[in-house]
Amino acid sequence: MKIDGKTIQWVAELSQLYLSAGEEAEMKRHLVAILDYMAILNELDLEDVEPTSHTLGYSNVMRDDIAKESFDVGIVEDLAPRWEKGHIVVPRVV
Amino acid sequence: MNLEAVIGLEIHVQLNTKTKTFCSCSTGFGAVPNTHTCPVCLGLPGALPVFNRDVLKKGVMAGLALNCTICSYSVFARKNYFYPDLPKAYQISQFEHPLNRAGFVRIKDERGKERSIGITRAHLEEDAGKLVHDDDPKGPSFIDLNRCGMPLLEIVTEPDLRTPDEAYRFLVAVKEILQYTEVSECSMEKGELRVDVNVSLRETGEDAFGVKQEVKNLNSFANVKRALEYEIKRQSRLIRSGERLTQQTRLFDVSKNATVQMRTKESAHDYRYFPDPDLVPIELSPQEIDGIRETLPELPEERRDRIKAQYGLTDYDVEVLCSSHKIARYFEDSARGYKRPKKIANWIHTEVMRALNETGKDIESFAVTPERLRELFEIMDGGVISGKLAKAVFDEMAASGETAAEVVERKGMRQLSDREEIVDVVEAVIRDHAAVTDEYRSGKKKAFGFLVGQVMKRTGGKANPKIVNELLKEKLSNQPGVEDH
Repeated sequence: MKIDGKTIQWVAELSQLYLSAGEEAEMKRHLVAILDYMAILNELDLEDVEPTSHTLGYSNVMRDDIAKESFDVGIVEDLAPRWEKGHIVVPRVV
Repeated sequence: MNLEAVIGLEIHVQLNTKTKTFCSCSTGFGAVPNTHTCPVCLGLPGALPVFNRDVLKKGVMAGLALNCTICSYSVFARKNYFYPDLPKAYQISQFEHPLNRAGFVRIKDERGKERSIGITRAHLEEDAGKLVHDDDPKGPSFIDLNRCGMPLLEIVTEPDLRTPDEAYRFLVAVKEILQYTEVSECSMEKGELRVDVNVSLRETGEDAFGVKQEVKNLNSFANVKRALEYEIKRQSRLIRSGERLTQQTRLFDVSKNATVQMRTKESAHDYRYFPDPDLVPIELSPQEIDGIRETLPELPEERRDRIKAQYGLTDYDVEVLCSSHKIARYFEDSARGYKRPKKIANWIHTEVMRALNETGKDIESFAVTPERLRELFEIMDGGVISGKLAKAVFDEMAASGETAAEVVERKGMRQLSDREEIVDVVEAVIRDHAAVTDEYRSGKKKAFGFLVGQVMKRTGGKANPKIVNELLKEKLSNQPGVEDH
């Protein structure tokens, strides 16, 4: 896969990141290196290998539907960047 | 140019478990904001999700009730996007391997013709938090993460619907099925059922689809219908004037009764789905699926047919009684062991429905329980009270929470069946209405009804009408002239 400036800008937009021209070039260098490495892995012949989405070999790990104590709201307040009237406050999104 | 609409729906239903999908936080409605949260649903680093087995069970029940194939292997995937109501920056959903595939729901269209509407898939996912925007348009947004991680089933239909009315009928049918199976309350007010629609137009008879428009976040079935009606008009106007449509995501604005375009950026999504490495696959054996199938209650269609046959009711009775599974259950509980169920059915769709409307109560919290309603009928059949009095007794029962016997006792409503007492009243009426009595005797039979009315009036409606009739006839025919006491 070829990485060009457009790809970087698209991925940045999806990630809600605002990159300067210098940062864009830096990101491009990193991503190209990662994908070049992937290209080496891509040379393997995996014709008869099932795709692996899980390495554990387990399935159906579940819990019962029983409520346990949640956070004290004070903890949520401490974690919030801004807090008002019991809510986390963020810049307007619509 | 003859255009037809092609409509598909995406329905998000909240499954009614006690706890969230991947953590043990409560799903209780109306809690103080941000109090049902923990490291998992807040997406704190290192927190690991564990799947709730009741979410799986209810997801399978819904799938079976929607005639889906339950997949023996399903996998959770991460749907990546950035939005403040999603602390992990991904929603856990299902993508390549959903829980349920290829179902259908049968509905009747406007002309009563049966239609089968295909369901592409019904997969499990978690809900996002709730955003509240400041009244000031320049003000901030507020986040409540209590809803974050609540279990949802997303039902995606085939593009099989053709009219807004059909879409409405389909939604009513799906809601009924989900309520019958008790996998969700489907309360629209609480946001437990939300609908997105996809609609495009094409020339009637064409196979290819037109350019589809998505309308998001419709919070009532009536709004779904209105939004579709508006979109069909808007799109057909554009197409007829030769304009080219582009694929859009739109919102329904209730105040304008119109759809408006969302910012284009909102639709520029690329979710980069991949299997969630924190969660293991779900495998279901045919035995496990059959085990869940056995717990399924009777579904709306089956119940309608059975109730009609078993109790000898009309289509209309069944339609009213089965309008909700709770009313249907109330009827069956009331009619249990009672020999004239049709009488109870009539009473439910007149008196009970009226009382529920007046008190604004749900049938489950209604003071006149099924057992109490049956008792009222037994008292009526035993001749203790007349049918007319029964209505008054019923209203008292609904208001005070007493049993029928208690109301009758307290209000002294017991029907007057003592001939001695009634005879006195009958004689007094004949005496006081000599002119009418003469009219009756000279052949004016209508006058009889007036005299009966007078007796009932003087006894406060309590006299047994049968005895009043007998006594009046007896006194009027046997004794010419007014008897003098």
